[in-house]
Amino acid sequence: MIGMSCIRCLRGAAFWLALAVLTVSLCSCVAQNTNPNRFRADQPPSRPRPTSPFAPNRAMAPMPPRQRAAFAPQALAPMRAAAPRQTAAFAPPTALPSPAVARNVDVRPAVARPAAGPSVVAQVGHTEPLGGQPSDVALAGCVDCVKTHAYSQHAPPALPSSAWTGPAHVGDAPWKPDGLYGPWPRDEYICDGGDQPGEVRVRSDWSVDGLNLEDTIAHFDTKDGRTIVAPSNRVCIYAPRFAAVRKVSSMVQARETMHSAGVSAPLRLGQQTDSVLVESAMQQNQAMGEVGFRAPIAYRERQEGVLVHNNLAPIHFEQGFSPFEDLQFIRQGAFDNSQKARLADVTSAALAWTDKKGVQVVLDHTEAAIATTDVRPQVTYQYELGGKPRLRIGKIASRHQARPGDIIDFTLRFDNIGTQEIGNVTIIDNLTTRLEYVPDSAQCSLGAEFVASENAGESLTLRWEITEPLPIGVGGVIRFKCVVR
Amino acid sequence: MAPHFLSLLLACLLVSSAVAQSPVHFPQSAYLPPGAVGSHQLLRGGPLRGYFQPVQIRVPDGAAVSLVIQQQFTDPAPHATTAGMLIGQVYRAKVTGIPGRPGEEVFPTIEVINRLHPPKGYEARFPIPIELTTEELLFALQGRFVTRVIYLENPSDAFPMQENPKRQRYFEVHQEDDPLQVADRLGRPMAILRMGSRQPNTRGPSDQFVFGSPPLLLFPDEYTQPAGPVTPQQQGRSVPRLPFDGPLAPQLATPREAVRR
Repeated sequence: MIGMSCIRCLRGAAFWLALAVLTVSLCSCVAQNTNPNRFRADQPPSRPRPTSPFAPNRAMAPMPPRQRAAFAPQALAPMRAAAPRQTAAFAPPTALPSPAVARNVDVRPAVARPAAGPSVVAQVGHTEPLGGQPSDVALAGCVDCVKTHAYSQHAPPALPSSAWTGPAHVGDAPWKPDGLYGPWPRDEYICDGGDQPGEVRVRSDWSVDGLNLEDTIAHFDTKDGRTIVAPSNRVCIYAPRFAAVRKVSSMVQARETMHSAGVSAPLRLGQQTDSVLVESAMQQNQAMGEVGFRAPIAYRERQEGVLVHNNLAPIHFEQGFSPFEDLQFIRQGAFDNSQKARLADVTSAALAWTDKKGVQVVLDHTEAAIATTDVRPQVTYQYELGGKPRLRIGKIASRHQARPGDIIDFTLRFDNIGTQEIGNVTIIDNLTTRLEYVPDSAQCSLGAEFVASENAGESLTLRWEITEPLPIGVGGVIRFKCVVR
Repeated sequence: MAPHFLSLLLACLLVSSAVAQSPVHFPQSAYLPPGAVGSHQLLRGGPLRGYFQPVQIRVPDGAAVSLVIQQQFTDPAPHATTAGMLIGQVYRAKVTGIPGRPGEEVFPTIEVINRLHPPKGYEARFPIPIELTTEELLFALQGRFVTRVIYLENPSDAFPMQENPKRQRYFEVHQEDDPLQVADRLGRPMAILRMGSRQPNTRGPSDQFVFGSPPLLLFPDEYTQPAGPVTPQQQGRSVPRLPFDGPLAPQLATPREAVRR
């Protein structure tokens, strides 16, 4: 009976072992194609390249809080006193990390949805059509987009057309796997702008949490005491950078010299010592006196230094606009249909806007919905107006591509497009590691305090605090320069 | 019921122990013969086959580098040369005028294993830089073997330092480490440089020595400047001039002298 049970057990084990080996082999095959650590190829991935295990999630250091008075101008002070911060009533507590944050944070919707009914249309930025390739449907509504596509500006390609093999692509755009948004491959671009996952939240003292590298946001206060966060669009610049791993080997690297481990040479006993018993004992001497301790005659107090921020006043704003800024959007904050293509060209190196990280001028809990998603080179957001505060911030770059050492001019345009005055407007740009701020290059067309502090990426976090409230329809321009590392 | 449970438990233990022994599998290595890694890359698909990836080879001051076209070395180009190379092919180069070692030559090989995807018209502006230092050239002359894997840095792991356009940053690995695997952890490997003391026959380079003299696209000298601000020659002309126009042929490159004429 025991023998039968053993045989039955071994048969079962063999069956399960075979099944497990088959499963492991299948898993290993899948792992070979999906493991980010293994050697990669340009095979079309199903999703963007995952983060390397050498890239820890860098937590953003807490930003220095805003060091000036709260937004309470004379005309608005009574309103604010009558209506203290009540954002918590609009923000569901479950969506906020802590009560301290929940009191003052306005949560932006993660996914835009179409809005119905009459609405005001704000056209902001440009986007990549869904699917990553300009389809016929997408281009049907925007004929000019084909003519003014960023790649069409460079006439004949650098390499013969036959060099572009692989899957067929539409137009002059380089090949890209289907279903991917934004620039591809990601590791050839440096991006700046938008709000990466882990959305930015502003505390009651205007300190900022969740500010990741590459983030560019603006936050402002409303008359009813709320603090709203508005991210900019995302600008990507083609700037690959290389390094190398070296190994030098030679034939003598394995040479090994053997030595004798030791010598065995026992020694004979040299002498013999007899042990003598103790015959007498001497008592220890008593203490002759007491040694006193001298008290310190001086006391030196060490006082820790207080936190000092380098407040730099923005230098005089140059009113003249650069050629790449000669856009109605930058000059007057208004969109001109004839300049959509040019705006698309300067907004991103090649492919600017992603669906999630594009412009999200979303305030309060009114979701900005994409009204037209497949028309180049813009996205049209629609949302209800009802006395809502609203700030639009856009970002453009002077170059599409750059090599280490090149200087890139960034321009931020922000406008109060809401129906009420807003205050304490703060624009924050958290530069990525590959971008180095050029000292004294920050300009702002409005009165602002400029603060630059180091961030987790060993670059700088730039912060402009607009000193005066921003009336309805008023905007400003911020410029700064960066060197590509 | 009990035998089934015991058998399942035994199988799970065996499988878990087997999986735990190999956390990561690297199918490729820098020690493979030249061309093996790039050929394997081509088998994985994607827009790699037939694409001429621009590569810039830099040598120390005073040295010159030449490539192979139709089994003949081109005229030595001082400082640097830029050429479009096919992925998966192996290209032999010749370095002469090594500082302090007049008359001696080193013949490194270059294998491109991946490509860039720059905006159209800017391919030549972003070549893969391959730098040959004086130290490495002397290592090769002393009989040592130098393997250098050039990789594309991941922006999220970027080294927070200003890049020197004339000096490529590199990391030295231990003898027991595979430079290709280390480069894969740090970024995306793009090319492999192998350099030893191997010399061609006295009668000239054989077909085996030059790996069949694969097709090559030579770029004009103005595109051999190291990375940095755009040069006045390149400003305002985003499309580089190539010595050839039209469909590619198996042997479409000509010696540099012919290009100049």
